[in-house]
Amino acid sequence: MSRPREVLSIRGLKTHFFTRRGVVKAVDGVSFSLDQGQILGLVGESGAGKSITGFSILGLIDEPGRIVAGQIVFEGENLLDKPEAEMEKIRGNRISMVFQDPQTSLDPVFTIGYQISEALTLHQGLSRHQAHQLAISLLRSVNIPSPEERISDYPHQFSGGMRQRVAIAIAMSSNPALIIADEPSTALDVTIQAQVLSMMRNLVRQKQTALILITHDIALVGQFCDFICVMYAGHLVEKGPKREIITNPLHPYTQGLIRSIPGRQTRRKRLDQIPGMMPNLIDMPPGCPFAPRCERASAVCQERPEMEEASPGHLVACSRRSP
Amino acid sequence: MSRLGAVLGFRQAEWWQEFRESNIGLIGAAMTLVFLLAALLAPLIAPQNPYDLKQLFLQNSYKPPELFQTWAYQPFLLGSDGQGRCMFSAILYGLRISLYVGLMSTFLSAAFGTLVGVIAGYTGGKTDALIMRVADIQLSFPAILIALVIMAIWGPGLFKIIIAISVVNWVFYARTARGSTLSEREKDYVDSARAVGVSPAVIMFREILPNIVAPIIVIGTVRIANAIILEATLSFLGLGVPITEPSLGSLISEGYQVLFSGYWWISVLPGLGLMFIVLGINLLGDRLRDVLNPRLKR
Amino acid sequence: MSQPAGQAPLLRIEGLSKHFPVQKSVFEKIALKGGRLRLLNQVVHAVNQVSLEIRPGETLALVGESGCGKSTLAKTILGLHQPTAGRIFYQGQEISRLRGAKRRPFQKRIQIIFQDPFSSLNPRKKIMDIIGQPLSIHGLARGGERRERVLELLAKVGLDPVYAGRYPHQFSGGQRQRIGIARALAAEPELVIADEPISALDVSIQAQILNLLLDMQEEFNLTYLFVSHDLSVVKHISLRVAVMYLGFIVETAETEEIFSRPLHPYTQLLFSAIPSLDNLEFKDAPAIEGEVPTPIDLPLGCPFHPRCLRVMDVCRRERPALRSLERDHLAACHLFG
Repeated sequence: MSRPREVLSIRGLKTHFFTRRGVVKAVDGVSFSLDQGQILGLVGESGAGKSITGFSILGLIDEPGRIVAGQIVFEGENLLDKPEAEMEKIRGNRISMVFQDPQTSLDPVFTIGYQISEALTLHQGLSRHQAHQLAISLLRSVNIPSPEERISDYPHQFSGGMRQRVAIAIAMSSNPALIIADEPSTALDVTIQAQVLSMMRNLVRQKQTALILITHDIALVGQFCDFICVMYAGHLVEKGPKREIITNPLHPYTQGLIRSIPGRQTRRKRLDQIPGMMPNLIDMPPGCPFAPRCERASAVCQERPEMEEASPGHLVACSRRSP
Repeated sequence: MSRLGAVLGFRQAEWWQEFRESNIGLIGAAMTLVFLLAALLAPLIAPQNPYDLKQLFLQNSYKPPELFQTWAYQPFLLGSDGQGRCMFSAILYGLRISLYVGLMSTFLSAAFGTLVGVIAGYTGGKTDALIMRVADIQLSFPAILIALVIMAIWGPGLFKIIIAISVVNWVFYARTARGSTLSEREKDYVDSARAVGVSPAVIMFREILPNIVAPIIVIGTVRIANAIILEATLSFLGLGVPITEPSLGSLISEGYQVLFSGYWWISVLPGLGLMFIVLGINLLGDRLRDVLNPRLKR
Repeated sequence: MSQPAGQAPLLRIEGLSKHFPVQKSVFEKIALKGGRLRLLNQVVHAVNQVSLEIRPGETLALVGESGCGKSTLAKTILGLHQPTAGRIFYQGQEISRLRGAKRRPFQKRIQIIFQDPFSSLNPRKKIMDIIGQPLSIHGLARGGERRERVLELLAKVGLDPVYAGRYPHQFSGGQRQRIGIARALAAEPELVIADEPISALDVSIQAQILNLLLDMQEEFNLTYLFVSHDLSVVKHISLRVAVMYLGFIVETAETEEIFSRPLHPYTQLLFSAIPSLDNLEFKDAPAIEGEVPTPIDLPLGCPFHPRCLRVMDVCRRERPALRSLERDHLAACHLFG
């Protein structure tokens, strides 16, 4: 079965949570697409909706949340039309997820070998012996030393960085078309972080897997990703090729984020800061979500801005951007 | 309803809203409330004072329930026992004792147990080890046995039984308090207080204690029912309250002897009363626990 | 905001070590290992022979990854842990083993700001009481005057004085950190230890809090010990940097110096691993294998030698001392003689 060039295309995704206190529009109209072998960085701070976007793709949204609009087209088919039984065949198989916390993403009572093999026997119908062999080679591919011995170890015998690599091995074991990594390196030390992300990048390039990297760290996406999507309060405010976004950010929020990162400016002078706080996502007013904190906001910002193309591939949703 | 909340304070209003959602919880609350009121107002609403020996006449003994015959609110509407006591009145007064013992002993054991638990958890070391060993040893004896022995040695009495039940129950609170203290102790706000120079005693009681109260309340609501049953059991065995002021347990015991002679109302009716009050408290406590639980995270 | 190097240090640490026993009671010590009954006596070597100086008015950054001992060092300075060995001097006075009333004056002059805005404030206390506590304990203000001071402090950290009557859960992470800063300032300290004060905050809030810290330093003439793993923040805010690894100080230097010329191999590894926006080219991470060893079983010799690309024979046997290589640039590495 040959893979289509475009692996994922999300159009107008809206995921809302209907809570006792009001409606939380966690994801409110997000569109982007991703090809084989490409790495997309989904960047935003807490409450931006990036993790929820990831869960929406996998169909893991529970009450009181619901996907209320949009399409998630994966390998040519809209996932939102699929029944749960079919989604189960896709999860962990065609689309894999790597989570943030290496402590809790692995089951502590089963050996590493068992957990990797489980994914293999489940989705690929391999025999136990075949799965075992494949598991060893997977561990080797993520640079775990002495994999034949470590395969019968338990998660607590591994360090955080190694556990995360095991999680990545499990994610890659089924040769998925898409991997969603939700803050995969946030809980790791800086030096380990670099190793793990390097390894992920090399692997996905090799296997031409698509990768969505969800993170709050812009510098990280600057290093590892091809494309960047910036989210704020459930809205996608800017997207485009990495170099473009970082050297020429057009949305005031993106500009503010990049400017406020220390280390790039004169030392010991006050940093440019974005005033104010993240908005309360309950019952948000219409219009641009960033307007209350934006120095360029004006009356036109009370209407929700459209996503427009500023230069090839570089789109931004701002009514007040400098053209 | 939210005005009630506004009167009690912001936080209460929120959990009240959630509490309202479960019918079971509301039923439990209603039952408990009814029994509580009945017990409180017993001297006013009971047709007879069953503790007043002068009002008891043996010729009134063993009368079956008259309620369905006369439909009148008068003594013996639920029958009478072997001493000539009006069952309805005796049950009302018995409920008083049950609730009084239940609440008082729970309060005492919770207070003592929490105190001990916080000290053990915060101080650690030998103090902690000693307290926990004492608790472990006590837990290896069945609760009933301990209470029995205490009452057997001490003799019957309302005050004594409260103490006995408190002695039995403090351990649960101590363990919970200790566990919660151990986890709170690691938190930064405790370090902050220590760094500023706050003394350990003040840290234990002004910083940590308010934060561990929630699970204590949760256990308390469950254990009130437990205490009530323990008192009833002891009285049933004759080692609880004095027989001149019978509690539900003593009534059941008294009626037990004549049960098979056909005088069913002396055992069964107090038994039903006991069952319903415990049920009401448990339903209420269960629901309260569910509602309070997410708040624990705050 | 630095003073000439000749001035007496505000805080001086000499050979400080802090070790924690892993097995705390007799029962835990007895273990079955390799089929035989053995007595375990393991120790977590959290802080090892640390010597440091902090000069008045400066910001010294203490950098390292998790488990390197920086938080333990900070808490030991504060007196929350008793040192296992070594001495701590504050303005020339030894404070390492002071307890109780003797320690009290120093508990006013040294304050701390914690990392986690969610556990650093007592959820059951009002903001007024949280910030007011140091004022009461140190007898700085009472009653109405205490109230006034708290409201003043709230305004200083950029919060509406109305907030004094509220509880911590009603505030965001950034606001809680501001409250934590107000509390630290209440005692009118000289030295403030900031333990990862912005790591748990959103990026856009981090800049705000950093600016606040800089403003407060200027206004109140504070000295900061800034513990962090975030090098870009460190680069921005500090005057001098000390790098820690497995409880040891491996390098100290002025900020500009250490970022342009890191000498110790670990420092070099650390700096190269940080993604930065200045260099968008993807470079493969250095292929260093192995995991960070635990502080329980310290490697013999140099603590970094199992992961060091330039390891030599002597590194496996002898622990290198922290030596001054040039003016104010110290490193602990056999590569330098």
